Amino acid sequence: MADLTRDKVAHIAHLSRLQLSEEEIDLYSRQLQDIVHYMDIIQEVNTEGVAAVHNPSAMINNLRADTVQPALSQESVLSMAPAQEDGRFSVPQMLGE
Amino acid sequence: MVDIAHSTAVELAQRIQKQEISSREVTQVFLDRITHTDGDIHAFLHVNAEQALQAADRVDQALVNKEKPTSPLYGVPIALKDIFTTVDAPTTCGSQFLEGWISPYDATVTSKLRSAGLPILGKTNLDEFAMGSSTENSAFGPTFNPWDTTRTAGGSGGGSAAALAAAQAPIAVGTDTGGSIRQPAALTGTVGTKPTYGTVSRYGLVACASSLDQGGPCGKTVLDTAYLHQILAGYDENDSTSSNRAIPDVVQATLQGTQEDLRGLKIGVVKQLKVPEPANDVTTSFNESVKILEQLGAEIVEVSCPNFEYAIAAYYLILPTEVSSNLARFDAMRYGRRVGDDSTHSADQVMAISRAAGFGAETKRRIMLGTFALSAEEYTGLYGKAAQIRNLIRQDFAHAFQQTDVLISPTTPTTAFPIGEKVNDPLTMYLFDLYTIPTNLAGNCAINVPSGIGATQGLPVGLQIMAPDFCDDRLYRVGAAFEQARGALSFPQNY
Repeated sequence: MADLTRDKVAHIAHLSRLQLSEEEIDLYSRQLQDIVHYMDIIQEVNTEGVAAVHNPSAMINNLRADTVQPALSQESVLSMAPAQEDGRFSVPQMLGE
Repeated sequence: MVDIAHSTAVELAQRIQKQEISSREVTQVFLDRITHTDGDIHAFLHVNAEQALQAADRVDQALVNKEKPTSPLYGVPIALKDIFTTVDAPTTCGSQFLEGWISPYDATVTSKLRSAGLPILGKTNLDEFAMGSSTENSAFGPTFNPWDTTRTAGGSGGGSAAALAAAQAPIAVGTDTGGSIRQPAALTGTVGTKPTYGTVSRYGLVACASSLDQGGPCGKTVLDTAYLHQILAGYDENDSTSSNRAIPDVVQATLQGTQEDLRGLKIGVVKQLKVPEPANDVTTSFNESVKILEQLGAEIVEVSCPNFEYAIAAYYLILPTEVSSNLARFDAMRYGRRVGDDSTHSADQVMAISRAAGFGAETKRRIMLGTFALSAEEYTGLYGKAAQIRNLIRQDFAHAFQQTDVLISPTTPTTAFPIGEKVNDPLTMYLFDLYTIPTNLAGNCAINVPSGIGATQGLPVGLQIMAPDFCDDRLYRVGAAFEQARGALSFPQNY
């Protein structure tokens, strides 16, 4: 059924921003393949016409009025920043090579 | 008289409110217990001694001023799983990524504890980001079971449960996503409840799986747990999944359980949640529990929930997908441990290096499994199918509850297992959750009540009671009646 090759695992690691070593990719590939193989059991279930449930509560889009309310101070939000400058988060280069 | 460390929360609350003993004295007793025993147990990641004593002093002063207690457990100290944010202690979620991280805001649960006058002793150990069944996935080392320190105290909330069993705290708060309160409770001989989804606020509960996570009470007795349940539960406008529906009176239900028998109640045993075979201590204890419930006058019937066979598969598809999304916020740009930021790496690379360095193996596995299950080619057959099975499991519960008031099962397939036995075999670890998982998928409630000490191994066994959503009171009524009929259980030797 679902096919989780080593190449796919390497790609997935990249997509989920996890820089893994070759040995880790080997190890996780084996473990994930075992797990995915166990999941094949779900194909036995007849789910035709069955609605998907994503959340136990019946609520959808539980919104509040768009009014300004007190929020966290800039100081508290920056307090755990790995690096900051002039009241802003300092981050590595985002765009370009 | 029972000493402070082995008293119930209710006993302590009564004595504190009568000003027979002070909240400071009680809090100091537990802080001392932690100092003396946590070298062997490792239940706590952070002890908040100064702040706990200050909170205790405020309670004592208020009582002297004849102010009204703000809760029935006013002044009783408590342990808090290290996944709820606290402004005066780190919140690590058991992860190196968040080591030393101090949240700018308190979780709603944390605020409720403070308002209720419960000094917070410290933050307890857990599997990283609440993912695991043994607390062995904690980046800071596992928690050891006070009943046998070569064994786990369960997970993900092993710390909170072990703290109770070792008399380091009289009450504790945990979270339960697939069994993480109930299973450690079973393995440590304590009580723990997964409340109905939506009744305990998730604001400030660092998200693992948003449709499954729920904070809940842990205690040594059903009554202590009920009082804590009442403090924790309630609508919160800061949590978009918080329910407006009334919370049932779980304390009243507990008292009813001790005053009346269970005649008229129908209790279902789920065919698919079979007792372990070949028979072990769990099997024996469950069969004895059924007899106790029958002697209390309940009618035991068998019910069939055929889709429960697929619950583990559905859960371990749904949970990782939500985890892969929820843990994307840990990018080391705004908080968390940033690694590799040396001007040679781009932001993307720094994120990937930081996450690889900060997350443990199980966390990485689940992120990748979730990413895979959500990918375009696999979505329908994996996540989509699992979400349909989730509906079928909910329907199975609904059908079962048409014929019964509560369902029962063992909480775990074995007693506490040795440290190291399952940690390198993820699938084996997942299969340990078979009894607890269905309730989380459905959003219902369930409780673990200790059922006895196993004859062959001398380790605790738990009974799981399950009820429909918003019927949490039924858990406490049946649990209290069972607890009383079962009789007293001891603390582990040496604790």
